[in-house]
Amino acid sequence: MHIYEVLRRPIITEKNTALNGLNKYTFEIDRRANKPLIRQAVEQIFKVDVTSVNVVTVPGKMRRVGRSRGMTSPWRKAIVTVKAGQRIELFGS
Amino acid sequence: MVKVTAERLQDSQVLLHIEVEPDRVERALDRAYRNLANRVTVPGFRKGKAPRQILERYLGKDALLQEGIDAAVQDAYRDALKEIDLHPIAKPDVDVDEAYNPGEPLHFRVTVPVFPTVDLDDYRSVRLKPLDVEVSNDQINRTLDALREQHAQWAPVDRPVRPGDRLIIDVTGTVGTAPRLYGPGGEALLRTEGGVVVIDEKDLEGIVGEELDARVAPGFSEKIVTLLPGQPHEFSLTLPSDHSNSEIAGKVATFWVKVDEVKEKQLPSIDDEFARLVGNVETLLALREQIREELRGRLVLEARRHFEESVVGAVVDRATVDLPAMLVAREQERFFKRLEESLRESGLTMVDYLRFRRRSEAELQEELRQQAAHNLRVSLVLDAVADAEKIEVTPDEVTTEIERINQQVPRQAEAGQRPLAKPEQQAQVTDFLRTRKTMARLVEIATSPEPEVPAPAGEAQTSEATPPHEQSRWTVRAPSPLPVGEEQTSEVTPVFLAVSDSV
Repeated sequence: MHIYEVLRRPIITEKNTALNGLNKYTFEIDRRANKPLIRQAVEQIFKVDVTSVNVVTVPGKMRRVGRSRGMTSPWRKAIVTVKAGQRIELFGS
Repeated sequence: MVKVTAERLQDSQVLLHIEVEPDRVERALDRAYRNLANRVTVPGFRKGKAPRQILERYLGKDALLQEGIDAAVQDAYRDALKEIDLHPIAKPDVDVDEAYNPGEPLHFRVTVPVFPTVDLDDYRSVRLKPLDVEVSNDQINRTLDALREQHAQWAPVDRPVRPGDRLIIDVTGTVGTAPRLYGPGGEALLRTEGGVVVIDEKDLEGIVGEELDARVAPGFSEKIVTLLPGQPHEFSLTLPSDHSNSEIAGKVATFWVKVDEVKEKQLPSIDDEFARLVGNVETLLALREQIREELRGRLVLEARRHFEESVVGAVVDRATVDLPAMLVAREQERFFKRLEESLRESGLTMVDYLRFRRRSEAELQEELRQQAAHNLRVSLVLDAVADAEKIEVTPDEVTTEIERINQQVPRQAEAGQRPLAKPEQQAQVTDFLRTRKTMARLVEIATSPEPEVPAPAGEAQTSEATPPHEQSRWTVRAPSPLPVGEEQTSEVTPVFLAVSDSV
């Protein structure tokens, strides 16, 4: 799996923006990716040192349209901590 | 603080160069961000919680910059006005420089019209002679004649029709098939079979001559002269080629007429009897005197108004007013809107109006522009004169005037409110009184025998006024403005009604 397939998009929300202050950046990731791959991808792409990677599976949610029921797809996100003093520009501040 | 340099342009406009420090711009941007953030929801953030960078990225940097710069410009403009003590009379034209770079001062230019300077020149040397008012016997005679006409009686007579008679007739007229079937009295039973009906009326009343011609057809009167009452008559007449119904214009129509009644005009003789009837006076001589007085009253009023106008005109001609084009344009716009409004009320369109006046839209606009410029000039000059002459209106005078107007024009009191008590209305009345006093003063100067009228102390011939209530100063005052209720009340007697044409 190529490292450019690992990170899908940055998650920029109020909550995650608050985490930026703790050097933590959140990405939606490919479900096949693992922690070492994520570390490698972030380090190579953003030229930063990663101190830890936490991964969470966000469960799919029940959705209903009229009578038909369905699930949204579950997805995975990674909260990556970078070395103090470094930052990822993509997230703004 | 802001840095301002001012430069006076023509037409009473001022060009300002304004520089705003970076700090101030930054603060304005910050305010703009907070303001925007509260209005915009960025996905993933609650309202107002998105940080500035994120918001900038979401909306685009320009949106924020524009908001901020706009606010900064407005703010700085206000301060700049204060700094150099300038009183604009209209919205400015703002021209903001090249894109703003953070950390650098912001430059912009503003063009704004200020209260025009009015140079009155030597308005005190205006001398005009009022017109003498004289009522000639001829005028009185004409008035008497008009009165006599008004009191004419119509007496039924039994004789052939003559021009000037008042008739009651039955009439039909057709183009094409003529009436065919007549009853025992000679009246047509099938009167308008076939053809096009020009007219078909019973008991039509009118005076032989233009009046009947207008109601039936030109040349009709001529044809019915010498008819006897009760005698039916049939004749043909060529309709005019410009008849409103193009189908029958220029065609020959057949008319059938029966005169029911002939009435002759009987004018009252002008004597003491007549005087008692119309004037409520005993003798003809007294009636003549009464008419003379009323005519004189009207003429005096008219002459006074005319004189006021010429005095004001002379003063305005002498004065130089540096009128801002922007102001004229705005006034012109107002005129145009008002015209449109009144046309709409009478159910006309602008196109109809233009056709009626035989004007192109451009010509009309030019006309309005000149009118606007003239009105502005007059009101500015009068204002300047009022300043120079130290003409003041006391609150008492305003109250009295309002009472007077209210008495003349009874209006429904708005719920629990005294009529005309609103501040704008008060200001309007004050303006009006001031203008009137100013005109009275000008008339006084113009009729004074002295070659030089002393000016009030501390004379200011050129006045650049600082308007206290800018808007209301811009309502245009015509030379003789009459707000609601301001009309010369006259004792309405029958005589008075008659003189309108004969003056």
